[in-house]
This record gives sequence, structure tokens and C-alpha cells, in this order.
Amino acid sequence: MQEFSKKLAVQFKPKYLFAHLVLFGVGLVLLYPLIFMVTVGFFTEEEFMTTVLGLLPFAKQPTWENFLVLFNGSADAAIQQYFLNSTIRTVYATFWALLTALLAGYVFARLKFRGKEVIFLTLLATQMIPATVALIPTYLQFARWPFAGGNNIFTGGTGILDTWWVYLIGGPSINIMGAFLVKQSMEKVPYELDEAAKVDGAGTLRIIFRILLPLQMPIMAFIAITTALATWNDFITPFFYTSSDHLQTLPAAITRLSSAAASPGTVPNWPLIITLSLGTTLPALLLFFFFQKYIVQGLANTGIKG
Amino acid sequence: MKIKKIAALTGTALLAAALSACGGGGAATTENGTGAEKAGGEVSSTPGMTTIKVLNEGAVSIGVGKLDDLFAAKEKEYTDTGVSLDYTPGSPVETFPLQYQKIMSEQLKSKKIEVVTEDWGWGEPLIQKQTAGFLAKNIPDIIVGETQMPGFAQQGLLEPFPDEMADEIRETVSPAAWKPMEVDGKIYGLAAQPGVSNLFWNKKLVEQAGIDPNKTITTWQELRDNVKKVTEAGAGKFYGGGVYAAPNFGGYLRYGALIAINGGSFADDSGQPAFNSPQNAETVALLKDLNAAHPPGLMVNNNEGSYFDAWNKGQIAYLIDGPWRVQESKTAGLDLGMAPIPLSPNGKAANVTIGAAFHSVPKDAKNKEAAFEYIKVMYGEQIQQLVADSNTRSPILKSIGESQKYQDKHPEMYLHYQAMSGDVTGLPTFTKDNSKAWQLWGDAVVKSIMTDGDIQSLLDEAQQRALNVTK
Repeated sequence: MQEFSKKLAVQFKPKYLFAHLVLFGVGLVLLYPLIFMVTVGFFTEEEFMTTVLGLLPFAKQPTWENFLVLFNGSADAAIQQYFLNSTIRTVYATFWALLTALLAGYVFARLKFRGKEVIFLTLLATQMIPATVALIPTYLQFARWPFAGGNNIFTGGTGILDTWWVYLIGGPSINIMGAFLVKQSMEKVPYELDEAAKVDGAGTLRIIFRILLPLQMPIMAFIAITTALATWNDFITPFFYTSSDHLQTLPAAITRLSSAAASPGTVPNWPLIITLSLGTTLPALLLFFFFQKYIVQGLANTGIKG
Repeated sequence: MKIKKIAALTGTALLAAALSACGGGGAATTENGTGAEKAGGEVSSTPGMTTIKVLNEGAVSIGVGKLDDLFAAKEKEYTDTGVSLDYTPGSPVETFPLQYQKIMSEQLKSKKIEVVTEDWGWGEPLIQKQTAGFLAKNIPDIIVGETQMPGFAQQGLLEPFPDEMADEIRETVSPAAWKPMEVDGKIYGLAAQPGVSNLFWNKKLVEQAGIDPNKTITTWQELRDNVKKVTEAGAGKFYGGGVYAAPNFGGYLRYGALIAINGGSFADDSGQPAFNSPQNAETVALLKDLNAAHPPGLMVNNNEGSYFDAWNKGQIAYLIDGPWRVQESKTAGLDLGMAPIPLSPNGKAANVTIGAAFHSVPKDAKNKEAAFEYIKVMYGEQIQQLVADSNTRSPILKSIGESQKYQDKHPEMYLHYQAMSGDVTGLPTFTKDNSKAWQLWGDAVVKSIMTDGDIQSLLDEAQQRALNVTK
């Protein structure tokens, strides 16, 4: 108790107090959009339209309607289906990212073969291509997928566009950045560990999964979190390569609502759009909140500094 | 051994997940009734019917999927919120999108056509997806869009309307619905409920500035004077307003009407930029004056929602916008004045279509004949009577729009109908690098409005730079 009081007294020293006040202020600024989203969620469309919003808008006639739509969906928004799709896609893409990053990282960190550096640099160079540049070529690639979707070899049908294959094949490619991070991290592990395991009779897979993987946990957690966040928030893939409602994810559904709002002549239902955005943001935020320490640990392990 | 088992199990699990997800997704039945969809987004057709895919238009959307499957859920949504489903032609309609789609569905069924809707978004994402769709020859039977559609027509990506249909449209339909989609004497698209801009004012705010709220203003000078007076009376609480002028299509479409009125244009007949004409410079000078009657930065804010939010909340008094403003303002409880856009000293009445969702049949459409039947229903009497009853837009069918009944029942919308029937154009498409050319124009206007730079010099510079990208 005495120690606690001592600590508290230190915290209240002017220099710490000032720092805390600044941090509190910054924290409030960062949290403000979330608070705003929650309070706006209680507005009806009509009240939102006619109210001049203050810094903290409170509805005069609060309604749960927007939150009910967030959880139950509506006639033209099957929210539960979108939520399920987002979850399946995120889990699947994260699993693949981890697997490919680990295996590719091992190959580039541990194996010796001709052209290794060239291949690695080539793979890294692909990361420099902006995603938007690849949109139309990828669309064509999916549309021309051999013998799929009515294609007579390459043409005649729609390929794998507007099917789950878009997410299964197109989404989870080799995670290059993850492979790079694993390679950096693995290179710090003494090679003697591998040799000792080999002497004990371990094969390559056992070395990867039983010896090296446990040592890569922080970086694997980092890759998992960043991939999960990116996939959860990705609206481009579902929006661009699929059209059917049953394939949509939450961000894509929100983009649809927002683009309907941008269409002249339609009254945008901002409280609903903002509430749905909150529904997209929260799971990602919680994931980040609970696992943020791994992000720091993971990056520290690779020797990359911000 | 254990590791091998793990690897084998992982492989099996992955394959199973892939297959089950694929199968499950395809067979998924959603609450909104898209259960008719099969894997690959294909929808099961009713035997003997031609199924056409139609892109959704926000104003009449009731969801995506087979049209007939969407009605029940939408009806339930309306009845749950106490909205009556009753509609008799000639009376007000509360469920416009539902009634619109029901009429479309019934009329097309009699021609053995059924409709499946898809939603490809709006604005830039829609344009990108349509461009990819054209390249991959994977495009619905009817596509919809606004500013990009004349460009698609010029590039030969759209099917011209059959001559007989085009002649009928020219004779019976208001020009605003098809004129912007006319290329080399052929019609390539039609909007069932296009808009043109009018001047609106908030009577309460205008009155507070000592101006007669029932007096219509007719000249640019009056507009300048009035917005100044209102801004002074508002003392920071409300402003004069005028027109949205951000560097995006929302801005170009709205102040494009002022450019047209003053005899200016964005491009010449060959699709080359025509930014620096004296008429354009005069119009930009007006915009600069109007900017002084807005909250700082609002007039050129890229988010058009913020601008119209200010109108709905009674923070700006004057506004140039499309016809939907009438109904939206009523919903927002505003007492509204409406008149044709004021004219410049040497100007004449002219306008630019806005909020026009042009429907076109792509060259690669699989069911062109059925798609043209769809468009015929759009300008048919039943749909057009419904548009008239909605009081949000004007009908395009002359027989309804010019009828005495319509003039008496919807005086404000009749004003809009008259504006639609005058000198109406669409925004032009530049010969090359259209987006870049528009951006150069938009940036020059924003610089002219927000800085002390010489307007003519800024437009000259934009013209030169635009010529470099379009030639």
C-alpha cells in the first residue's frame, strides 16, 4: 500500500502530471471518432438530417434501429451473411499468410541455392506495385481462368469471378512481406539449433514446426494480426471481383451503402452507414487492442525499427 | 511421423475448407431472398423466360438478386415501419422504389423477360468495375452510370438504340433524358428520371435578411447581392450560399449549369479542353464571389454530403441543385422557394443534366433485344406516371409532363420539367485522359476561388496543361 502511494506520488509530480495530461488529451482526440460514431448511431435519419451537430451529438429521440440493423440486417442487407463471410475470409487468409510466410521465410533464411537473392529481391519488388494497378489485370486473370465459370479454356464464360474461388485462390497468395519478416527473424536464430535437431533425427518439417516456429511466435503473431486486419477491412476484393449478395463482406456492403448515398437524388442514411462502419471497425479494433504488444515484439525481433 | 501426420491433416483441412466454402457460398440462401442464386452468381432462370442482368440504380434499388424474390422482404420492411403499400396511379406514392420495380417486373413478364439486379456501386468504383467488365467481356445486359456513359458511347462500347425506338424517344421524351447520350445521331442511353438544376432558397433565412422571400431573382447580380445580404444578416450563424463547386463531378454538374448559361463550355466539339474562354472566366468570378458567402472551405469541400448537410440544417440560404431538393427540403422542414437559375447579363437559359442514371445496352450484352425492352418500359406510361406521383423528379414522357393535370398538381416539379425541356447538355468527355483533364479544370477553379490569383491566368495555365494531356 505504501509502495502504491509512493508510485502515485511520483505520478503526480509536475513533469509526469503534465505528460499524463497531454497523453490523456491525445487519447481523447484519437477516441473521439469512435465516440462520435456511437452517439450518431442513436439518431434517426430525419433527426440527423435536421440537427446541427455539436461536438458530442446526442439524439433527442434516441433509437436502437441502426444497431438492430447492424446485428440483424434488413430487407436489402443480409448483415449476418456479410459478417460470416468476413470472418471465414479473414481466418482463411490469415492461416495461409502464416503458413506461406513461415515456409518461404525458412527457405530464404536457411537454404542455400543458386539465385536465392535474385528470387527474393524479385519477390520483394512485387510489393512496390500499387494494388490499384493490379486491379484490372487481376480481374482479367479471374475472368479468363481456364475451364471455370463456363470458360472454353480461357473465354466464353466468367471464369472464377463472382465465386468463392476469388477469396480462396485470389486472396491468399504468398505473403511476401511476412516471408521477409520471418527471414529476418529466423536469421537471428543460431544455425546450430537446426544441426543439433538434425543429429537427433529431425526432418525439415520437424525443424520448421517444432524447433523454429516456437521461436518465431512474436513475428507470427504480428503477421497474423496485420493480415487479419487487412483482410477484414479489405473492400476492394469483394467489391471488384464479386457481385452476388451472398459473397459480400461487411466493408463491401458498407461501401455499397455509401456509394448509394453518393448517388444524387438518394437521401443518404448517414446514421445507419456510420453504425455499420462501427460494426466493421470494432472487431478490428479489439483484435489490435488485445494483441498490440505482439506487434512491437514481432517488429523488435526482426531488427526493423520505425 | 507425427509431423507428416500434421502436414497431411493440414492439407486435408485446407482442401476441405476450400471445397466446403466454395460449395457453401454458392448454395447460400440469404434472408433477403437471393436464394435463387447458384454458384458463380448465376441465377436460375424460369423456363421459357429470358433473364437479363441489370445494374442497380440507387434511387430505385430494393436489393440485389432476382427481382421477384426481393418484393416480399421489402414489403415486410415497409409494413413493419407503418408505411402503406397502397398506390393508385395519380396519387402520392410512399414506396417509390418498390412500386417502380413491381411495374418493371410485371411489364417485362408479359414479354417473357425476368430481371436479376446487381449492385456495382456508384461513382469511381463503378467506373473501374465497368471498365474491367468491358475488357473481360463480362458485363450485364444493362449498365447504368452518369458522367462516364457518354464516354463509353464514344468509345464504341455501347449498342445504339434501334432506329425505330430512337425515333419514338425523340418524339415523345424530354431531351434531358437522352440528349447527353446522343453521339453521331445515334442514341446510346436513356434516363427514366433525370434531373436538371434549379435555384432553391430557404425562405426563412432570406426573410431574416430583409429580402422578400416570394420574389424570384433572375440575374447573377441579384444572386450576388442577395447572398451578401444574407451572409451579413447571418453574422456567422448562417450564410448566403449559392452553389457547390468542389473539384469533382458533384461540383462540375452543379456549376456546369452556370457555365452553360453564360455561353461557356468545358470542351469544344472535338473533345478538346475549352477552359479559358472569357465566358468561363466570368462564371468562375461569380463562383469566387459566392464563395465569400459560405462558411470557409465549404463550397469546395470534396465531401458533397457536408455541403448539402449545411443546406438541410438551415446554414445556407441559396442553392443550385437537382429536383430531389424539393422533397428532401420538405423532409428537413424547410420552407422552400424554387425558380430557374438566374441568368448572366448576356446569358440565356441552359442546363446540365444531373443525377441522370443513364441506362445503356453494352455491345457485349448477351440479351440485347430483351435489354431494349427493359428500356422501353422505363419510358412507358406506367413508370412515368409513378415518377410524376413521386414528386421527387419530373417525368420524361411529354404526354404526362406537359399535361394540365401535372402542372396543377406539381407546380414546382413542372418548373423542373420546363428546365428539362430547354437547352440541356451533359458533361463532355475529353478525347484523352478524361480524369486528368477534369482534375486540371477543377484545381484551377479551386485556386481561382480560394486564392488572390488572376482567374484568367489560372484558366490559361489549366488550358495549356490540359491540352498537353488530351492531344
